[in-house]
Amino acid sequence: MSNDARDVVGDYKAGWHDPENATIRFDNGLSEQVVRDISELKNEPKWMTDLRVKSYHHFVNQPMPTWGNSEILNNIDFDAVTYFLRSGKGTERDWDDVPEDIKRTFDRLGIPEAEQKWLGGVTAQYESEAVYHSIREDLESQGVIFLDMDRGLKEHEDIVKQYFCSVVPYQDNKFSALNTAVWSGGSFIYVPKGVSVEMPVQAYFRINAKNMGQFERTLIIVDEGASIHYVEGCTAPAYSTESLHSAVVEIIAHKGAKIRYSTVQNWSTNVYNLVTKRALAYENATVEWVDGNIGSKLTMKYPAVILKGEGSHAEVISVAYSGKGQHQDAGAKVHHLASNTTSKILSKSISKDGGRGSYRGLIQVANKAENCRVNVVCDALILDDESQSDTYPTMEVSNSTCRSEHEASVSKVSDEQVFYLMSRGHTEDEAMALIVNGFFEPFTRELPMEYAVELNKLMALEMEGSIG
Amino acid sequence: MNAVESYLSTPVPDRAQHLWRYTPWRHIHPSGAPSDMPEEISPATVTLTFLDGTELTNDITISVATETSENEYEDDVASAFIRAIATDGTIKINVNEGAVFEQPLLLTLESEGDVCGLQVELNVGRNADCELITMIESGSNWFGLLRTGIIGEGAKFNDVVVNRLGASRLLRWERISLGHDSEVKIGTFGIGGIQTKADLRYLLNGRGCNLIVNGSIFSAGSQHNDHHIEILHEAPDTFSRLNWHSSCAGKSRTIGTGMLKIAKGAKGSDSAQVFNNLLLSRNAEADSIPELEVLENEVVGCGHGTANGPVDEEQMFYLESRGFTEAGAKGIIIAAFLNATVKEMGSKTMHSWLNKQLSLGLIADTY
Repeated sequence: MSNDARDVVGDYKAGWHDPENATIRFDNGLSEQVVRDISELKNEPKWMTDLRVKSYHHFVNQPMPTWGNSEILNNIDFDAVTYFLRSGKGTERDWDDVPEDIKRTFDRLGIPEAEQKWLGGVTAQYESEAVYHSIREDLESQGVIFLDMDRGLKEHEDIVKQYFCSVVPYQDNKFSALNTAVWSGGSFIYVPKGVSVEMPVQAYFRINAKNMGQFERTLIIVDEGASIHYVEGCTAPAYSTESLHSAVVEIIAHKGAKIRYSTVQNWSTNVYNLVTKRALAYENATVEWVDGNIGSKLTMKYPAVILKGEGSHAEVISVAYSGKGQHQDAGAKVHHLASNTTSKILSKSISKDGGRGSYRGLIQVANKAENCRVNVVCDALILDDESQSDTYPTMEVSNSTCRSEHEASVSKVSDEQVFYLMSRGHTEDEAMALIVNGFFEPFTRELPMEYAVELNKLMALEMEGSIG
Repeated sequence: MNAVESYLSTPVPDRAQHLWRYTPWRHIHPSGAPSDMPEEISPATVTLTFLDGTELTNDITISVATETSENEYEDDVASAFIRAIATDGTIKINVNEGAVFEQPLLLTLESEGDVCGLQVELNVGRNADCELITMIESGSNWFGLLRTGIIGEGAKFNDVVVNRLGASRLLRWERISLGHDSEVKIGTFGIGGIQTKADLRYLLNGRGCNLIVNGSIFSAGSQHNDHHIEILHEAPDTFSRLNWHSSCAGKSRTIGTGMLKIAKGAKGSDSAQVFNNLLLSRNAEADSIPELEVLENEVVGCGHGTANGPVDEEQMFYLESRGFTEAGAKGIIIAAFLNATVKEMGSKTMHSWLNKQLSLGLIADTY
């Protein structure tokens, strides 16, 4: 690791990188030709190529958002980004067939081991495309489709065409337009009616190359009465130049379906993470976003749920850690369009070493949505006098039968808590790590145990030297 | 550059700025066309007395300054517009150092005609102790009020602005700074007008100063009330509370956006804001955006909350079981909800007077 990179990364454990062995690497920069080339390379149907081109033009014409961290956003050099890089020969179903250097990377990240122990399926994406993909046979035999998005489009074009861009249109925002123009990889999941996927399925996203842009696209359709838990993780090497991650996730939860989408985002602090995630919930469906943002230079991500069906429910639990040079601008959005819909948002953030944590949320209750219930809680801890914490919640209530509550607080770690723990024999660092893990506990208890343990270790590492 | 040129050169804000999201400038501009300047400006009638009608003492002066005073605050499109149309000069109200008044002061602002703009400058001297009610009763179609103020060290000052407009629109722009150890209550009592856009900002730049902002807004019919309240803690050991109650009936819409900022170095700040909305009809809408920006970690606390809900059925049942009609019971609950912040705005004398206005407002409107 270079000294520059070390400055950027600190104790970031996933900050190593492998030599680049690209089989195809596009020149840096974006143009209509690049968009067409990606589509042609993937041998896509014409409608997808046309959609990509339309999205590209929309991206070019759309101004950069003026809210959030405009200073960082305006510094993104889109011409310095590589929009497509293929490292393997294709998507393998056996780890032994994955190129050795890439397999070694995922071994170090513990993915094959986790797959054997507790996962129902795995997609591993390296740069622009999936290099490994598998699903348990019993799930496959029940009709569960779990593919990388490129194969999903090839093998289930009718389903993809029906749902693609139906929840997040390309015109939604500048970065959804960018993703629609240059998307590559991601997951495609279909869970048939009544099928309950008991073990989580996981996607792991790794950026290895410098100045890389990763634009995965995920589409999950959970049919009536079905359920699934999808887990995603992401890391990247620490370079002194920036990389761009701009994903779009669309979820459709049909009547009575249940989906939990868990993310532990641990990009290195040279990655811009600009993501649009949105779910559409039909009657009595439940959508849960469990969202952890630990890494990246700038994250702008507001998982959203559109409660379209009566009795549907949304839950968002998110935590964000902002360290040196980081800005986590995260939050949640819930649109109550139908009656008797409920939502609950819990957001926790910690800012340290000059980091900035922002909660940005939106609750909308439509005029015809009777008897909705909304509860939003945001808590923030600022650990030193260099850091910053903001909350920007918006509540728009147009129905008089709605009961909504929102509360937020910003505070520092209580000296009394630290004193109490130290009087029981803990060092200051241990006491701080315990308090922070306790603060994040509502999030970690919702994660699969292996993730929760790893996250606790990660936070303990981040907290070292935080007092003094 | 004169005031008109200054306004015309001020860029029209984008709706992406949340200050202008719910009431864009063209919606509150008198003609709807930002480049238009009103052809005729109506004069304002300004009177200042004590609430009980007694004459002013030597400790308070009211004067009109025609010269343009140095602008301490950054102008935006709203303030630049009011400055451009407030051609009669600035009303300066000066309370002497150490002055103590038993009775609240009543400043009445009236106007007839189409468009009226007024600038008011408050200067409350050190250790003064007084209350001021500013009553806007204009009969003009559009009223713009720009208030700036400095509250001196150790002063105690209760200030309420009452909107008793008829079918008029109100643009209010306010910047007040608080000195060392001052204790200030600022209230907004909205029971009139058809549209209000208010941008109210308070600067806590004196160590140990204490600010309580209360709002009580009654919206009915198709009223549109948009209040933005910003409290900046710049000095250490400062305290602020913002309590905003809005009741919305008919097809009305109330918007409350709050911003609490704790600047770096404002150690020991204690700050909180709460927006409560009572929704009285299915077509009413209440929007709350309570924001926080905290750049200092050594704070006592910094929080916000918002709650929306209908009239409580149990409270209705209780009152109806004691013989009240449905409308009577609802009226009592609304009055109690609004009174919760009105009673915190100042002294008993002030509260009693405001309560009378609340009753008049509720009688005048149907819900």
